[in-house]
Amino acid sequence: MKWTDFSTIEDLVQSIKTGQISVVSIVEEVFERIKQTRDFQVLLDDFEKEAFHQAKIIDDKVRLKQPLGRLAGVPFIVKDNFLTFSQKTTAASHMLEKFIAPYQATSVNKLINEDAILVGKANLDAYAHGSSTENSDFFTTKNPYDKNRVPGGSSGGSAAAVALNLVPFALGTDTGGSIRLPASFCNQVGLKPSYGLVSRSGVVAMASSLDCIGPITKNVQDNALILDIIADQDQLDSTTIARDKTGYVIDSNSQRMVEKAKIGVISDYLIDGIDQKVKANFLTKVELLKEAGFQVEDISIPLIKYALAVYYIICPAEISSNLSRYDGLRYGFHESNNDNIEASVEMSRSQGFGQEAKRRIMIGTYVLSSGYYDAYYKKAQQVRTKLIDSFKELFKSYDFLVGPTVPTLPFKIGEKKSDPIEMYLIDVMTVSANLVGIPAISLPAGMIDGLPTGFQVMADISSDKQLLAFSSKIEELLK
Amino acid sequence: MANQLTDQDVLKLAKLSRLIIKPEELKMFKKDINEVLDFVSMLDEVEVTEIKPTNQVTGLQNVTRLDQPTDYNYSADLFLNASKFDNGYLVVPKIIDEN
Repeated sequence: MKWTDFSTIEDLVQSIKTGQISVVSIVEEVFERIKQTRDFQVLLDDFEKEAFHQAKIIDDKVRLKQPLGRLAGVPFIVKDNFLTFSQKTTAASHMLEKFIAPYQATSVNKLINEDAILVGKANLDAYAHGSSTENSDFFTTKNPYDKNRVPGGSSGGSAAAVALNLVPFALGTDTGGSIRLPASFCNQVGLKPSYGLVSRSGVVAMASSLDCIGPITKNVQDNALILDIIADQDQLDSTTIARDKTGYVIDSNSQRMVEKAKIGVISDYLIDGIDQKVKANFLTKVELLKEAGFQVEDISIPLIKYALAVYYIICPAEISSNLSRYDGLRYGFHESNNDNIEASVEMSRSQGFGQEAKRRIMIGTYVLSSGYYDAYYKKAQQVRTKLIDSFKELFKSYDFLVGPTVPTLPFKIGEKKSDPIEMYLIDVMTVSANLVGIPAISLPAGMIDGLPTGFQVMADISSDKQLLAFSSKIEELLK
Repeated sequence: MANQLTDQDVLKLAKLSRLIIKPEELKMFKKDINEVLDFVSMLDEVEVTEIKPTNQVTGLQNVTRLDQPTDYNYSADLFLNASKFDNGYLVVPKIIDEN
């Protein structure tokens, strides 16, 4: 028996706890898969020795009938921008190539406290800046469905790891779509929770008012289980919000809550800039929702066409601020220049940061500079307020808003790399949820020409539980 | 909005960002940054008079925790990442001229 024979993590853990499947055999299977899939270039690091050590401890606990956590023996992978204690945490950047984490991310601690086993760290666009994993300073991860195409980004390694059956779940981060986009391109379930629901402590910061942490899984039930474990207020992250008192695990109660859900289809996403095949596929799924008895209406959010512009001001502004801490002295890449501290800092930053990071730092520095602050940064913050109000108004009438996750199918490696605007446009349907702070999920929505598509569902802020319950109700329908 | 940045502007921006741009990179960065600034200039169309800017979405204010000491035994791990350390101190280049 293999872990891939189980349809949910819960079933797997049940069989581990009753001794029907040994954790050592699961970890053997994981590392066998890791070796078989090396040419997809998914992982930056793996922990074979440590994983087997943990596996034996858990198998012993099963034998001795000692208490076990909710994820006992379940292998997982995190994006390499999560700090894992005394291990390398590179954020796929030269800057942090040799960085050894002196503490551990809260979310990783929560998973390990439930006896999950960390087996590796996944590739990403350096500092999570990108939509294809091509911006990794080390190598590009390949799409599990077509090696010539990108897996999406920036959590491309995490999504590919789940798609390639390395592990049943992985963690990613989502600042403008970086969980949902690769989940869509790799045919997995990817959740960006409400802003603040999962602690950001111990995760390399990108844009702090937008960054969210969430699970990538094979199905919605697993996703809800992982969220239930990692969602919590944290003294180490003062932006965390209260979790739902009833938790996030899907049950008949929560499913009943969404039986009569009213759904708004974001028609603005279907006008231009969308692949016609993606649009047609999405519309057939909308019909299926109608047939299933949900009340479905077209809606329009006129301001949504400005969301990407707002994002590409606020996001680089916050990036330039967050990346200003890299001086090459306390940690990170260091270029020695004993005479001059200014020169040393400049040389370290110039050699440690890749092109995309530099581009974003400079754009951020520009929009925050005294002469242009009002015209760019403040203006973007004001349009953000209007966008939030538009969504608030809609959630008075609709329980969920739906649209495609990405306007295109997974594209070829190299196809968009030379044109930053082209690459930025890939995020056009995902950034709004980050700007507004609402939860959003990408669900597998069938294949076109052998390539995966995604169906995105958004809910009001702190309605993560309803979002997951509704998603589990429709996930079979969409496949 | 949508000013076109010149070579001088980009070099100044790099200086403010504590980055050194190589001569062969200048053209590319100038083009890319100008394209992004041009793209975001669509916000000119949006009326925002008397709209409050959004800094964060949670509405949380003054989040504090008890001022209690906790054990933190990772100092050695922190130093492992430093460029140079000596006797419990981080060593950095001189910042004050002897003259």
